[in-house]
Amino acid sequence: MSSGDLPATINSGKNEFLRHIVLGAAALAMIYPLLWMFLSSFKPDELIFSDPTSLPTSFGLDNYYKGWTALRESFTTFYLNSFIVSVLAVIGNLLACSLTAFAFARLEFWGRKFWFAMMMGTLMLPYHVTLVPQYVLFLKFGWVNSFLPLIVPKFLAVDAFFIFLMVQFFRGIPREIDEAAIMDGCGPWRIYWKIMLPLSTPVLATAAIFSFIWTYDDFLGPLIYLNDIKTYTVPLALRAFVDSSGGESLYGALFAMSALSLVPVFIVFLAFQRLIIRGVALGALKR
Amino acid sequence: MTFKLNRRGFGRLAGSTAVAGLLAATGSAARAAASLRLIWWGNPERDKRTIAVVDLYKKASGDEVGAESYAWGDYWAKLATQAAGQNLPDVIQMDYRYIFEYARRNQLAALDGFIGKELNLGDFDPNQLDSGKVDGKTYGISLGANSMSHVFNKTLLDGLGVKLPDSSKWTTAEWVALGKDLKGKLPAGIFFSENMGLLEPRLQTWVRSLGRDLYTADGKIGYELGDLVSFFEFWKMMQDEGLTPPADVQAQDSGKMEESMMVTKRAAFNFLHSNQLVAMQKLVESEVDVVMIPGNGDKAGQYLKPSMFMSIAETSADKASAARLLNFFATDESANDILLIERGVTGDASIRDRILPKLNPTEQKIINYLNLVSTRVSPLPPPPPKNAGEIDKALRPAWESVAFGRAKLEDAAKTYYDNAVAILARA
Amino acid sequence: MTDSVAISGRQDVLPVVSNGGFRREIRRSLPGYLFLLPWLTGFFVLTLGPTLASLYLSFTDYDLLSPPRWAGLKNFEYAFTQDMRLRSAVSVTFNYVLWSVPLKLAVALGLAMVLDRSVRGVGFYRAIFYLPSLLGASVAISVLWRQIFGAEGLVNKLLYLTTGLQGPSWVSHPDYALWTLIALAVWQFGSPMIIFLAGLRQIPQDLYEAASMDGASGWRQFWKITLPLLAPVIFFNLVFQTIEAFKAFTQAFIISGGEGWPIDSTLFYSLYLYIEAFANFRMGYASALAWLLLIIIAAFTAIAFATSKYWVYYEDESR
Repeated sequence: MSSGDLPATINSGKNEFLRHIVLGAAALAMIYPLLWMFLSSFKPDELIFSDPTSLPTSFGLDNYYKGWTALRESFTTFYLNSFIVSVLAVIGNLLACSLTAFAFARLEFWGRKFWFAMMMGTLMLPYHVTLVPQYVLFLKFGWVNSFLPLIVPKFLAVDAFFIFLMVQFFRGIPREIDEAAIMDGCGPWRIYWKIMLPLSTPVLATAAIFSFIWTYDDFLGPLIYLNDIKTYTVPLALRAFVDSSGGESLYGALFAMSALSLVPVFIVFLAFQRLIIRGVALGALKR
Repeated sequence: MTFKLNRRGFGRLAGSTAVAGLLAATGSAARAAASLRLIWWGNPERDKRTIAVVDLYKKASGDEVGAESYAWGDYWAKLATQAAGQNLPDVIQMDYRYIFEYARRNQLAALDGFIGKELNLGDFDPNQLDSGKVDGKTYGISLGANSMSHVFNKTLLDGLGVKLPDSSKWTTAEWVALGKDLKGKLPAGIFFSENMGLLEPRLQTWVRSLGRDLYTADGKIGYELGDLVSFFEFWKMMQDEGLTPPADVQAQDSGKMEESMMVTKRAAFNFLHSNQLVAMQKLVESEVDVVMIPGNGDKAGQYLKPSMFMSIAETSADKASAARLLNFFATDESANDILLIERGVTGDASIRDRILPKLNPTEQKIINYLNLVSTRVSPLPPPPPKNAGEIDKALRPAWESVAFGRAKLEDAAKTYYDNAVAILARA
Repeated sequence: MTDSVAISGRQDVLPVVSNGGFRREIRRSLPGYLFLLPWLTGFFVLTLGPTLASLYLSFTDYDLLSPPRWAGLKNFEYAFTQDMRLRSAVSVTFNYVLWSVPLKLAVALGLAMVLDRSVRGVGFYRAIFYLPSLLGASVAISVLWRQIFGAEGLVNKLLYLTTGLQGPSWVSHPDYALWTLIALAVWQFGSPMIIFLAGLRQIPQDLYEAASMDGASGWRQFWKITLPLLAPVIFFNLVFQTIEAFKAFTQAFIISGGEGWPIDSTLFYSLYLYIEAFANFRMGYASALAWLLLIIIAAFTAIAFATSKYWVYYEDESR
């Protein structure tokens, strides 16, 4: 990661060194648990619990092979499902939330404040409230056991967090730009599509990354709506690994697959993290 | 109730079940292929076996079968949601506790009309069949029997020269004496036993041994407050004497086998349902063996219970086809060659005889254990009333408040007992 | 053409041709509603409908398996007068919110400030710090946590090495179990950290430079420059994290055996709601609980917004 976007700071060498000590210690504490999981993924099952702090004796990929095919379908299927759902959710969220946010940030209409309050109110809903009525609804639509209940709501902008984030960002874009466009005869659609969206890459990227990560990690939705194991997403498959009612447990394989499941989100995060920071930046501070 | 693994009519039936099973599976040639859904809870091992059987069935019958599998913790939320949407799978793996909830709320189909036709249960142990009855009608076919048990670290006790007496007769006093004798001899950090004060099944054997039960036939609490107090006193004594681990160590076991005191090398004795022995042996390096639970009274505390059922949804569009699939699991030879006793020991005598030689030594121990239990069992308890599950789960916090010294023992027992009565009264 | 859209401006700088109030109002509002169409559809069909359905259910006995039966105020009455377990749940949840949110924000802000200044390897540290937040809720996390905070876990090993004391099993002791969940929440501080980082970037560097010239200590700079200028970001994080903490479910669900063990010490409100709905088949009562939670959260948010004008200053006050 380059440091080119950082503000110039007056840094004495000593301070710099101290900071690295603090950061290094914090970083170690942060990732120790993950390191443990990663190392455990190379150990045979018996050793994971009986001797939890030992280092693995070899770095064979047995647990990875075993884990990939431990369930009836291989993880190829689960990853594919997860990607389909996550990518479509990202597209849905970006389109629907930005449309909504544009209306709240830039358009004048009757009841704007009221709808905005309603939108913010949905943030507070505990999701178990709507679980059963929503299930019944999707069942009536004939959507259960498909990805539709996981995707369609995103195209209808149910994630108020992203709307809020975008509203804040849009408000930060100087009004002079769209006022000039109106003078040139641009309608709201063109302003949204040709001016706002191109200027909003950071917040769009932020929303994209968060919605990718959250959809990818979501467990309750897939649990409720997916029936057939062929349609399982990665977190649902991971849950199937261990069961307390007895039977063989595959902890080594579980850790192997859990470690692996982190890779896609981590890559996405690494690739776009600089955009995230700018995406949040302008909005929240409103300058 | 008997559980004799005799070779009753083995020769006569060996061939006929297979034929009957296949006939039942395929039905009449003209039948259109059905599309069914099957749901169960389990683990990767069970999933593999179950799906192999499903594949076998698909080939034999031409029916399409969708397979849905969940971990126990997720299963009941999933099933309840599906039930709320009138969208239950056709064939459902059921637990002894929930079968009453689901049957009495008209979610399950009565199977009596299929028995003798699609369901070919001629060789089935009548007692096991009865265990699937709710209010006189059959709502589930038992997939196997098991019983509660104590398991112990045989390698460890053998090393100390300990020989256990005939467990079908031993008493808690003998068991405690053994514990006190072993206390100084066990390696550091290993206690005599896990603490079972939080386990409802253990409480059940306790009160049954006194001639009572958890619930009466009309759905009231079946034991007295004094029984619970004596139960708590016993396990508090075990904890105070250092025969069981301290409360916080014991509480690390959240019910997962991997966290049990036996597997984490903290105790020589552990409570277990007998069908889980195979799984536990896989997690423990030492040899594990299984014995009956010592009695605190003069009655038999244990019983043979169905480990799980298969039921059919009332909303199933094709119950006859669903029954054929169920029958395949319960009675087909090739299917049970794959399933073996992973779900428990089957109630079908001929199947049992057939799979017996295929079992490994640990699985044989289970069979031998159930034979032993069948010499000293009392009948299946009356069905648990509505909300029994909630009362079961409340026992653990009640016991823990005693174990952690948060409440006086008598108070904790009384609070739990009154709470149980209140829960039963509440809809 | 120029009046086909009225863009909200600080003042109405745009000419609007007026011909009749109502028709003008429709013409003015139409584009806004067109843009809102997807959201409105989702709001009515997927959120409001099910929410009202659950409001209805909160006045019924509904066991999921048979149709709901009207029960009047019974559920609410039970919640307020008899349900002892609900009281545990409320107190556990308040404890969790009051501790986890400030701690998480403090750690997030602290590290964000160090990160903001450090020049080399920022991206690396940032990624490392964010990693735990990517993990979501999984079986692996639950195993991990029980290992770290168990009797022979990492924490006790460190404690023994440094002090010679033998710690309890934190994760299964009623006095400490909730703290292990608070630790988990703090561990996953990535999202507020990122937002703080973004906020810090917006503070003009020359303010600090000027303060340094005047001899202000780092501590003073923090109080006089960083905190006030960061107030809107802190407010944003505070509100969102508080709402999330009230709704917290998965942490307790996966780590504490799904039952709030030991002795209800980790019985989060949402977890209790879930248990009542799906384990005890009381969807009607659970719906009532959900509505009570909604009211609690709304009250807290309202308080946050009401007090915000005393401590949050926006440079641009237009809203």
